[in-house]
Amino acid sequence: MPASRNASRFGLLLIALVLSATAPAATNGFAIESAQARFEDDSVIVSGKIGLELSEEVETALVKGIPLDILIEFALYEDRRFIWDKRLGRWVLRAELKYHALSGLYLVTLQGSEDTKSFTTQREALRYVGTLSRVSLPFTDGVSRSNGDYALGLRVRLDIRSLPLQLRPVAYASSAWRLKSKRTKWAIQN
Amino acid sequence: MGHSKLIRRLTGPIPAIVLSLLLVSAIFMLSAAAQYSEFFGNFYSILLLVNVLGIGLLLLLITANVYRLIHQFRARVLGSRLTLRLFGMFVLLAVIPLTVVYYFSVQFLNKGIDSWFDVRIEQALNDALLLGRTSLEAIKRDRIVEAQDLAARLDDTFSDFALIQLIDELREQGGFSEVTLFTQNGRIIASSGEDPDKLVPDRPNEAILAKLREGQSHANMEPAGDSGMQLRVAVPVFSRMVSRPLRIVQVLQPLPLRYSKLAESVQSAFAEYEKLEYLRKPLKFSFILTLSLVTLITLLIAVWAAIVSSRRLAAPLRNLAEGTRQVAGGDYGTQLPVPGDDEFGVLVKSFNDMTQQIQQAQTAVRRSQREAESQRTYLETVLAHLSSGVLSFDSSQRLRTHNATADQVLGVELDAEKGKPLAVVAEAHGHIEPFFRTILDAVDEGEAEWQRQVVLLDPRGRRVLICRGTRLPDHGRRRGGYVVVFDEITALIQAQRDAAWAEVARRLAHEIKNPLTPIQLSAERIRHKYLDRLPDSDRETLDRATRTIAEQVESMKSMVNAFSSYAQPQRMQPENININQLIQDVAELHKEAIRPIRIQLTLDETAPTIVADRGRLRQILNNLIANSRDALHHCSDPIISLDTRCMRERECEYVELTVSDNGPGFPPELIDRLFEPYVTTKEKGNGLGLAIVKKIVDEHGGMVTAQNRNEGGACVTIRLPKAGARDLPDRSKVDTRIEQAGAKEKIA
Repeated sequence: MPASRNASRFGLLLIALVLSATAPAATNGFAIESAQARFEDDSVIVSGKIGLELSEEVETALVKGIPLDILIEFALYEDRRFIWDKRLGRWVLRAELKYHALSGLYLVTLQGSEDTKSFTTQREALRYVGTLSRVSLPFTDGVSRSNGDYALGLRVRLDIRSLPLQLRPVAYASSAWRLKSKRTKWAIQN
Repeated sequence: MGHSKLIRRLTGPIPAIVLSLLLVSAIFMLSAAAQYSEFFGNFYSILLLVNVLGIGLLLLLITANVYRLIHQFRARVLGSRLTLRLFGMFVLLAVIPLTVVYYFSVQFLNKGIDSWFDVRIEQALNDALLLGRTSLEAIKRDRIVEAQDLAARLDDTFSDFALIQLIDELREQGGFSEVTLFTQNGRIIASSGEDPDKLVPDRPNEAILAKLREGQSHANMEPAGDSGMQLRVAVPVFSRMVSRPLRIVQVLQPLPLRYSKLAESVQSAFAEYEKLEYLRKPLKFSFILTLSLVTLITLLIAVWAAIVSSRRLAAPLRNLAEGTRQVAGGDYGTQLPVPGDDEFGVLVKSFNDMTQQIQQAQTAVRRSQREAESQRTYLETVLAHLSSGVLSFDSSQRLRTHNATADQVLGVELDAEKGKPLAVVAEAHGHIEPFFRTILDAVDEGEAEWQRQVVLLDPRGRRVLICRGTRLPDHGRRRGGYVVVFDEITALIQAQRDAAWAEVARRLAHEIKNPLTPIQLSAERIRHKYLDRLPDSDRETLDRATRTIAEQVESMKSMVNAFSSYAQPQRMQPENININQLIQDVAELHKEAIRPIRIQLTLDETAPTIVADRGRLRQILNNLIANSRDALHHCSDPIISLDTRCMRERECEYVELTVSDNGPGFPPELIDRLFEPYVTTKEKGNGLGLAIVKKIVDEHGGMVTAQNRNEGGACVTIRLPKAGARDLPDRSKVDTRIEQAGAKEKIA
């Protein structure tokens, strides 16, 4: 009976919600593989490679027409010796991945770009998203650079809040939907 | 604040109401979020967590309250059974309809959402997509052929300029939007595009390039911004020259607008349907989750309300029961909180009024009891300090009350006889039987007030009591008893008798003494005048007659003097006297005169000096020794014993003087009246010796008793206080109290 199945899922959701408050984040799908950053004028230029692999449930949702938003989060830190590093700025790069059923293509649209790239396979599309090629992160107002050491924080994750509302409870409850990398730090070359 | 008080406050209604309101708000927002509210949707997870935590808290509160209820029920706390019963009833009333509504709502949701999806529509959309794809495939195949022709023509061109011209020409001829020639690595060799603003031609991605390098062709439809869709066709350019590297030609051709729109329409419809189809289960889950949370929260709030309502409903009854128990336990000051103006309120108000009235009545009763008690204490105090004996008995002649004087006068502990009939008390104490017999006789006669005189013969001697009885008034149906007041008047009678004798003696002395001197003088004159003149025979007669007259007058004079000394009060001359020394002096004086009677002295050296009149004490000793001397005439070994002893009784120091002999003792018939004047067994005695002794002892505040010794002989005991005559300014007057004491001490 659907009602009983839903009830059991509801129970699982409650348990998952409680567990998710304490359990460490899953990192099986997304990972920062490499990154290079350097200062160039008033910006940080970042290149790197991010491994993106979707879970089966997410792949199914994508093929069924659910667009996915992948967020690549950058943060600029000033290294400090005795206390925690100071965050100087934060940038987010959003990439929307969706499936075009008629053509069978995977379309990638980067935030701020009107250009949509099409890929015949999902792997190509994800590789495109995960390839950072001279991404420029301009300094915002108030950020001033001295001669100290700096680091770039990098993290990538699937944005559940951009999913359709109906899907969010399931996404929050299921670990298959919690795709995100560990937050990594990379030294910035001057 | 105590721990339990804090818990009670935390599990009280206010936190539960606040929590319920918060939960209802959260569930409202969650519901709004589930219904595509973008604002609340952003907080979906937080709302969900708030709801889950709220449910947990509410469950905790309910569990704590239910536990408390069960605990109270097990402890048989008053009202807990009713509370639990009401709670169960309310919960049932809430749970059953909610469960039914929930079940049908879930069914309706499932079926309603499923009904949105029609198999035929799905098939049609699939068919439309397939048709679109087939159509596009055909176009793609045609474009591949065209691109291959174009590639063949390019192979023959060698100069760059010619190549550009050719590409431009071919683009225009083929109606392509862009034609570009690439190296196999994707580097642009030549390109022609119809969009003059587009500076860089669209480059195929690495995957396409790799495919082309393998000699395969590529053709695919792809979205092209706002312009709809375009075809990307890329084919390898094979050269007839072996040395020439592989080149690639890519042709971009927008779909005709009509095709493009149709294709986009099919794509979007299919994608939307697929999306919906995919979201069907999450949608159901989301709705059922919201519904379940709403139901659960409603249910929990209802359960909570059931607990609160049952408690509130049962509280007045519990309070009433508790209040009734307190009233039954004697706490009449119980006032219960009035729950409101409803029927319970009226009931509680009535209860409060009742307890108030009971308390007022109780206070009045207590006041009356206190007053009665005070009155009783007052009466008891008065009775206890009365010199008269008082006793009362009921209509069935059972002893009720008595005072201490009654015990003292009757010589019986009447406390032990309380409640017993008078006849039984009389039988138990034979010496007072005449007393109770007299009372019972008077009661039988039915007189309301009566007075009787009773003579008792008990170890204390012959005693006379005067009794006055009064019938007590009846109390309703209860018949009143009697109260009897009685006094011992033996001493009074004795005092009256002594006074009478003193008066007789005084008159006698006055009437007799006056003619004695003329009689004596006349007799002496007759003797003097006629003794020498008469013949010898008559002379002897006259001589004997006048001598007899003179002797008898002298004797009468001494008797009158004795009466006079008894009747007339003597002036006391108190001084400190060593009684032992005085006794030794008097004994020495009599020692030779009374031979062969021996005087034996046993004197207590610790006897204190007393204040007394030396002459009068000497008179006491003389009288007593003379009495013993007269009694010992016919004894073989006559002994008179004089003993002293120091005594302390009731913080009073006495000297006890005992004068005893081994003679025949006092005649038993006179022993009660020994100290009365003219009571004597001697032929020539005037009967005043012991009377004077008693009078002197009385004047010194002492007492005297007389008795026969067991071993034979008489014994007179005198007690003289150490203070003696100094503290008694006028001992010449008769002190009734001392008389009584003296009389009581007289032992038969």
